[in-house]
Amino acid sequence: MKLDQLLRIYRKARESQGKREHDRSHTGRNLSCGDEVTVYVKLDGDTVSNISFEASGCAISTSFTYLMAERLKGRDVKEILSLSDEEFLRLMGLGEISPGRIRCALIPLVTLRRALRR
Amino acid sequence: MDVRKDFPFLERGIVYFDNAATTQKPRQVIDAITDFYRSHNANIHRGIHILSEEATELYEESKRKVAGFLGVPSWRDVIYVKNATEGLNLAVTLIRPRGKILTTVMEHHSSLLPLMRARSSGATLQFVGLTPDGELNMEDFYSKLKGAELVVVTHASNVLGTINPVKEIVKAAHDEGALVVVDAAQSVPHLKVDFKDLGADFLAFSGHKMLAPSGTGALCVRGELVEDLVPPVAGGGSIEDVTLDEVRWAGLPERFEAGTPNLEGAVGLGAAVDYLSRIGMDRVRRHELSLLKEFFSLAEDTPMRIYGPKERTGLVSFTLPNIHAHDVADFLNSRKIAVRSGKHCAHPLHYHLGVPATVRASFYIYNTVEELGLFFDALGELLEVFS
Repeated sequence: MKLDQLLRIYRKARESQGKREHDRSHTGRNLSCGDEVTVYVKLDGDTVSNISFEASGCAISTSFTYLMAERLKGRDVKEILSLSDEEFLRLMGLGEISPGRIRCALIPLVTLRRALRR
Repeated sequence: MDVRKDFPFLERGIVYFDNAATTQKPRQVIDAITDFYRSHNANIHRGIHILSEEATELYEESKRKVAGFLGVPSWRDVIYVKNATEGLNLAVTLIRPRGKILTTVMEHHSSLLPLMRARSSGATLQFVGLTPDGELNMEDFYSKLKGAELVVVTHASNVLGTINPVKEIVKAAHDEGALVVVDAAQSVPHLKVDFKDLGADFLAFSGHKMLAPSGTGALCVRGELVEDLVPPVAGGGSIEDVTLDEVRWAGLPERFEAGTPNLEGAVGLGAAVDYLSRIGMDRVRRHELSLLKEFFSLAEDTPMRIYGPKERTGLVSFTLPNIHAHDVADFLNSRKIAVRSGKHCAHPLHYHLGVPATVRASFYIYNTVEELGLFFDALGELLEVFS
């Protein structure tokens, strides 16, 4: 993973976060490191028409939440729920994540799954 | 300190500041383990052959070294366990507290969780708070001590570096009729610790944090407290005799060491104790103090927030404004500097400090002032990148 690329996204993520109109929401936490992510999902039938978020934590969890919101909106709920962890990471396109940081990268997906399964 | 030649891992060129988690091993320890397997390997105690005798002697010699190193009156009061966690769990299991337990908010999970489990047998928990500096609030300790049957305290905090006044705590607790368990995982590797002088009833430490192999550690006990207790883990080696009707348990320490122990680990632990004894714990301490002094002086020019008191063991936990601890650790890793980030198995302490995670740099005998220079250079770079 390229640090400068990550930091660019991290800055953008911090600027663009905020709660928007939504039907579902969920807050996920990585207790051991203190990452906290809330996702707000707007539904249009079976489609996730918009994802907004609030994130506080490390650069990876925040950036991945932002990327997830960008890249998964417009997709089908079922399609999102069938995404594996590996597919998700690939889709975010930031390259290899070290094993110690996988939880940071996956917290947005874990949180979104919870929000959608409610 | 002229020890770097003894540590093969240094060839990798990594600045290793994660010593509070585990230390690297010197050649002398690695060689002792290898030598055990090359020349002396056999199961202990029950064999009437030369190898078994040698293995038994090496195993017991390791305990005599540990007992001497820590001022434990008899090597029979040293129960080998796989780490401090297992030692602390064993202590609480043997004590079986059902009344009031007093402990502190700075405990590592390994001393805290066995106590929380004891709540289900009716025990109640009270916590001694901290001063703003990160020391134990002794006024709070004395005000809560009355009626306690057990006091559990860490000798040195794995996050704050705070060195607690264990001797004073033991004296007050004993006056109140309470037993005392000491978590010495972060003190035995760094300070001169004397079990008898501290007066504690139980004291646990891990070998791997003091140059010895993983899977080693001990619970030091006041023998008379446990010599008649039923062992929570029973099996080969823990008995004097068994018939189909009854069991006569072995004496100490075999009673609490059922099954074949970690023999090569014990031999490695003995070698680590020899190594540290040759250096002298006073010198180990002086070396860490000089590193701390340099660290604090270099930190003055940074926005680093440091947690814990001035007087501490050789570790520093800190945060940087608006940069998550994991990001700090990740960046330092890219500069070949190993630190730890997170809550360091002390969640309640971090909630108490009001911080989601800290970065911890922890030092040992092979670390140098030059390495601190590299660390702060990298930190400067990091602050620029994240600004």
